[in-house]
Amino acid sequence: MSRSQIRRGARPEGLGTDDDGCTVLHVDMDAFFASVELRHRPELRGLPMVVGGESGRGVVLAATYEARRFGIHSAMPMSRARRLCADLVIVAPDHHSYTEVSASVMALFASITPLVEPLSLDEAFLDVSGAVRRMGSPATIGELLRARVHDEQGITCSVGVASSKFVAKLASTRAKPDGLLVVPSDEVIAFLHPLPVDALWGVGERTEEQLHRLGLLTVGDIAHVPESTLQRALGRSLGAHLYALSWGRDPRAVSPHESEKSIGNEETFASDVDDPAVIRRELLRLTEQVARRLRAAGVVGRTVSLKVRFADFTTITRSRTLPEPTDVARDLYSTTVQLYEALGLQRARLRLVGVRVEGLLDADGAPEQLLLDAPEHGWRDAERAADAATRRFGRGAVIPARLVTPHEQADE
Amino acid sequence: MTTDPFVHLHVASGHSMRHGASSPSVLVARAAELGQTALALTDRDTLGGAVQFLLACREAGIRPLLGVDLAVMAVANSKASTKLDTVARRRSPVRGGSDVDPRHPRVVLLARGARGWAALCRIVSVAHQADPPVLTLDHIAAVLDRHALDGSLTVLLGAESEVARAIRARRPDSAAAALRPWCEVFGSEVRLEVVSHRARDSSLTVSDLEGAVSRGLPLSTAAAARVLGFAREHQVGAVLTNAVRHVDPQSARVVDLLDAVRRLVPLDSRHLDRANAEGHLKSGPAMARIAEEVCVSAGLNSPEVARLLSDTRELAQRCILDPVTDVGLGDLHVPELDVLLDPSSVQRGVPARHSERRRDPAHVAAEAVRADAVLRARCEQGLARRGYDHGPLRREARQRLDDELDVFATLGFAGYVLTVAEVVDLIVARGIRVAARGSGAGSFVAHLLGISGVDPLEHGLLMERFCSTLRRSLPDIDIDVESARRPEIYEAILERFGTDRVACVAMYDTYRVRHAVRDVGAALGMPPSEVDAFAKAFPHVRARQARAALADLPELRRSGFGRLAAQGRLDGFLDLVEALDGLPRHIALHPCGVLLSDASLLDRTPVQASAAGFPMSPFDKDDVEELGFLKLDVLGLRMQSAMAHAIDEVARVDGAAVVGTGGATLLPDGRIDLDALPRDDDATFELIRSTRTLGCFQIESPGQRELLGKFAPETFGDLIIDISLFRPGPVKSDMVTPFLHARQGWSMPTYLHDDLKPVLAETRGVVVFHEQVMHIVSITTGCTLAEADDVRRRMGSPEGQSAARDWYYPAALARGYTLPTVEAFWDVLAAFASFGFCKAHAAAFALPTYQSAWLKAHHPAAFLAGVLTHDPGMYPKRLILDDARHCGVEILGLDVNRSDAEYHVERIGEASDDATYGIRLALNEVRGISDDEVERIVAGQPYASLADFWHRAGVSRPVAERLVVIGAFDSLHAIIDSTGMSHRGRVTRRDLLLTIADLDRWSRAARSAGSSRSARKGVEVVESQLALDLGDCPEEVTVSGLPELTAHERVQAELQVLGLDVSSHVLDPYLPLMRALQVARARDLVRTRSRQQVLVAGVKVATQTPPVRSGRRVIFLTLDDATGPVDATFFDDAQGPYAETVFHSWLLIVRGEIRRTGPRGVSVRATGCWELPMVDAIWRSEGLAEVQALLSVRDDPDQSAPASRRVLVHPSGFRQSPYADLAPAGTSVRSGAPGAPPGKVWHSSPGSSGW
Repeated sequence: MSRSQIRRGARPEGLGTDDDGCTVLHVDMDAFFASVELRHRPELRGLPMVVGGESGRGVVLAATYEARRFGIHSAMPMSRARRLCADLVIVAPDHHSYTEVSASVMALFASITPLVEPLSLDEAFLDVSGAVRRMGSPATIGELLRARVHDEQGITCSVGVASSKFVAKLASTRAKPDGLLVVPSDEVIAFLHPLPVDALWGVGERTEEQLHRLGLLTVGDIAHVPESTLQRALGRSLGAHLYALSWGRDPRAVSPHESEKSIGNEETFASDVDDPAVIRRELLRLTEQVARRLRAAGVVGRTVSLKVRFADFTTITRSRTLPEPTDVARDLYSTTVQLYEALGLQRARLRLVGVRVEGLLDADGAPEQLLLDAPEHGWRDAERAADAATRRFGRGAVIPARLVTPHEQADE
Repeated sequence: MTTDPFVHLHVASGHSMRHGASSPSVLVARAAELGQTALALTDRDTLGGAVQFLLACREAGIRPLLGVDLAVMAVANSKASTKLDTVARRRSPVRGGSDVDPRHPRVVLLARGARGWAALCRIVSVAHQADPPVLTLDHIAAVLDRHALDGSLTVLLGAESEVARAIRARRPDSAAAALRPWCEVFGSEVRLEVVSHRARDSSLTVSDLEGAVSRGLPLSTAAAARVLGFAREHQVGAVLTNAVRHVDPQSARVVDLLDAVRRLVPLDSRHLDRANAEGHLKSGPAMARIAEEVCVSAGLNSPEVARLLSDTRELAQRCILDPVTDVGLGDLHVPELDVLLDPSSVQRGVPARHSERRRDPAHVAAEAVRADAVLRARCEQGLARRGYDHGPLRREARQRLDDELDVFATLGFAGYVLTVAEVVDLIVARGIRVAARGSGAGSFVAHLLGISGVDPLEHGLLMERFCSTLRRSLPDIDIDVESARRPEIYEAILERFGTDRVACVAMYDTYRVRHAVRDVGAALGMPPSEVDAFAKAFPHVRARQARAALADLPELRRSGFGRLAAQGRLDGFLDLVEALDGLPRHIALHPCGVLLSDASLLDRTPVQASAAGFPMSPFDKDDVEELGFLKLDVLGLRMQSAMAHAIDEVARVDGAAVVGTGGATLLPDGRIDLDALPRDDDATFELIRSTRTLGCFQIESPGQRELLGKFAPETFGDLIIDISLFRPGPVKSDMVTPFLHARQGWSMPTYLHDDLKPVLAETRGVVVFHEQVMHIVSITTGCTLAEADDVRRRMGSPEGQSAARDWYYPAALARGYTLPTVEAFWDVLAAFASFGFCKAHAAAFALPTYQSAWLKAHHPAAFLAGVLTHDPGMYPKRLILDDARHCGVEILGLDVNRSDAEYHVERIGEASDDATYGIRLALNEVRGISDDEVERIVAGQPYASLADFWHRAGVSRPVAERLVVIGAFDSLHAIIDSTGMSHRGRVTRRDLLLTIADLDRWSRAARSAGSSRSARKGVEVVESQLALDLGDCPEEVTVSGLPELTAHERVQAELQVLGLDVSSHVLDPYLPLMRALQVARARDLVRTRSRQQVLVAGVKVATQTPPVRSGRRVIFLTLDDATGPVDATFFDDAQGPYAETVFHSWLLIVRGEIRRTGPRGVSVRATGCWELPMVDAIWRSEGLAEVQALLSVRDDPDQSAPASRRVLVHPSGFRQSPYADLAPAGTSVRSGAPGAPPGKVWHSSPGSSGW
């Protein structure tokens, strides 16, 4: 059984409603991008619709439940989606409004509890133990959240309520769309054990296959095998991890203050690209963005990594650690290009490139080696000046000359 | 039309693979249309289009020139060449996708005369020693020198030559340096090509300049003018060409696509070579205008224009070739008699130079006389060996031999026959099974020389059907050999005759729809998974039928692709797909053709290495015949390999004990001599009449088995008739029923006339054989059999038939037959001339048919082990396993200690007299196992435990796990057949899986700790400090309590790993559902009423879309439901919603109506079809009512169906669907596609084998 089949499964019967001790909420927007789009396109309601690049070869970013009935899901190539459903409505993404809606929703969460752990734009864990006295039981809070998200944003979300993160997440999946599911503490085992093994966090396709070969098809099967047997089959840590999960044990706490360990940007091309000039230009644009974000956050980083996804979706990353941390686009770019050239690509087609800086430090506290021949006003100053111009005149006020040309030419 | 004096000297056709867009014949036709009188073909790196070009030229009255466009390493010691080197040395990319087109400079070599053609052949052969083919000027000079061929070629330095690139990049100094060496080698035979495609002359930047030197800039008039100026300045001849790649401006887009496809890059301006659509086959006036423009641009006056054009014409005149005297079209060349008589003369070497002596008519005639004498002597020996030197047939045999030898002598074919005999001897000497096939079996000489095992005197086979003085073309003798040993035979032939005389024939894959879709999809940047889905959705139709197929075939029309196409959203895509139609895309070794010639072979064809390393001529099988090479078809026949495997097994298991059984005698090597078997063995014919002939050659298909049941053959002659009857012609024209009626004695045979009785008696008055048609013509007109065969041949076409009729009536009337009788004769002849079958061919086929049936009757285990190993037939292996069980042969599961690479026979039981046999499954069947792994496993047998196996067999973990789940270690670890219950304290297959995980972890740790693989056993390692940390290597299998595999899981594992269900039938898990739905079983269908509504279910065994009379596409589906086969037929109305399920799924439930086809024949006219596992899942989750509702859905008629159906009409009037006889859509081989079975579990073919 695949993941998609679990989602489609009916809500389990006979689960109690006792939410005592179930203080972890997992809130997940339903078909987020698509739902946001439907707010101002009511005429599309009820139609199979997806958000994504229209170019015929982008990917589906979100699909309405009507579209999912055709077997369409997110991350599917758009051409395939169109083949599965000839009448598919395709809406170009508007990331700005998604970010905006997401920020509002996250602000709403924050108004309920400070313990909010966002996972992405459209989902988050909430620990509501501190809010119970003020606002009522976790299930009540969950319903309140659902009502407010709907009233304020015009979109629906699903909520899972449980005593641990991974059960809460499973519960919200089961509740979709537009539902809420409580998994009472003393019924976690009953809830978990009938589920197929791939419901467990950490079970991918390969592990699933290994478990199936051993005759372990459900979470319950895993729970009733000696832990040592699992460890023999899967290795020490994964075996122990799955064994714990199969008994509902998930010690992870909801942690809101995940400090940023890295800053990166990536770009999926409108069509696969094999032109080194185009790729270099894209890398320049990305390093400019990343450097600007580093400076805005007041951090510097030492490790630069390049991510490359090929046309067939295989992905590789390469990284290099600089002698000293930086937030200068020019340094990042030259390192990134070196990494890119070291790949020796000749006619490989790239779908995506990304640049990321890791090992972040506070810019003020970072050691800076003084060089005898360093120009007094280096690139760093130039880029800071550009930042200032951008703040004043808006995005794109000052950009490298090479990023200007193609657009100018295109306009001709 | 006035003639056009211009001659295109630089023209690439589609044979320039992924470069030229138009076929040679299209180019020739265009040139003729333009009134041009001569045309050159200068393909890239190949001469493969030459023969087609010459034939097209002959047809169109165009005088041909031939050349080749070759890549050459840069010669100038300039910055450019060092730059090239650095490009070539670029590091290899991190992940696939190296550049595939190094863009070397190119030149064109034009041949002059026979020596010029020889020089082209030799040079192209040398070029192909590199991959991709590329030469240096030194190579060229060396070849010309070695073969004394200098002065026979003209070199054209064209737009892509180093010289022109340098001139375009404004580097006259480099250009001069690049020109000098060419002049040194070719002297006055160097020409610069002036080429302008009137591209914009873009201003140069420094980086352009560097690029231009290695790849060139668009072909502008200004650049062409500089080339002309350079030529004048350096006093080198200049000619005007157009570097043609496509026939007309419209086909220019195909050129772009080909550039992208050749370089494996997306369609993007960076990767395209052309700037505009000017590179087509222009008219002379258009070329004259170019000449003018170029001269104006170069500042030259009008006499210079005329000079450029006349220089071009003058060169063309000198390079015109004569197809016969220069290229040797239609000359017969067979190995020299000395070589045939004395193998050592090959080593001594006949001078490979262009031998004048060989062309001397007196010498040729003397050689022919000698060859005739040698052939006669050999045949005389044959007469004695076959016992024809005495006895009643002595006189007849002698007469027949003399007649045949006369024919061969008249035609000069003695050398040819001797060569074939020599090859057959070579094969026999290696102990490889060989049999002749085809009309050659009609020759008594072939029988006497041991080429054919069937005696033409005994079976009334005619030499005239094979060869006569009325036909001058070389007759075909095809020989069938063991498929598995074909490469060995090629080696032997090469060694015997030498590489100067032997080459293999090439075969071109042309673009069909699936490849075209893949290449266009990749060029347009479609996601790989989508390209794959789109390609697989098509049956194997031609690329230009893509649109038609999308509209015609219901399963495609209803698919997403069909809907998008109907909306016009795939138009651009499909235009490109259809444009690729028929262009060659891949050259490969022909599966059977071998060329044999005298030592001049390499002067008349270039050779290149095939993928397997055999020398291969770029000419296909039709071309080589035009060129007069002796082509011998050495067909690999899997059945011959299967039978060889069987007799090996019998010798290994039973030894000499089998002598006498069924009349068997032994070969010197101890194996049964199949060719010496008496052909009247009762047990064999009993088996044939029982119709349990699965696995037997030619007589295993359902239709054949039905015919066998009615026919009940009793003699070898009957077998010949049976094979001839079961063909489309006889079946279509219903010759079978009257024959069977007469045979069973239900009706009296009718012979039309008593004169025909001797000829038609054997087939009860029905005309079955070509030989009978010939006899009838001969008897009723008094003509010779050779003439009669000529008449028979002509009757194949409507025009020929009316001509033959005009000749026949007077001739027959003149013999005294009445008009009604003559009319009756003619009707029979007209009906059967094209539908009859060559008896010699059927007789040749009947031999392996009889031999395979003999083996199955007497040694079923060995025979089926051979069938399983070499997979010769139409049935999936799982059905052969079933058949083995029916024959009383046990199927023994895979066992690491007992299994071999191939299927082996094991004797079960001790006492030799009541021994039964079993077939042990083969290691080769395990999915993903490598040859090396199989070899190591077998070499290491026996193993003491799983751990022992792990250490010594060295197989990968997935393979070891697969072996475990199919029970290969069961006997080793005393794992008993399980009912799925876990037995306390007993080891299960799953415990073994855990042990493998332990062993793998331990091995990896040991490896990373620096131990070598050989030290894994742990004994030596324990000494070392590092290894101690690893702990002991797990040797014992511990019981973990994991449950044993259930019976269902075992079968699933077998299907996944072996593609076979061994322990129980794959359908077993669905029996409860089938009972609940009252699904009819195969064995019960005989008792059902006609038109009764039924459900049937089973595993797909075969799908066929054979041609049928109505011209509709009909899908025949055969299912196996464990009680026997069920046949279901899907007509047009049931294909729409269900064809896709039929083609792409394998466990099926079919709804339909019973149709009785005979007393024992039943088939289901399908009205619906679903996947059985899906229905089962619905039944289990939602209940019976839900399933019944699903299975009773009636479909709306297909609204989108086209109003008219396309139909192909055969000359004989037979109509068929354009989609008949094609491999259907879907995947049939091992694939990981969801829902697809793991192995090749069913068979899908255009028609039954042998049709």
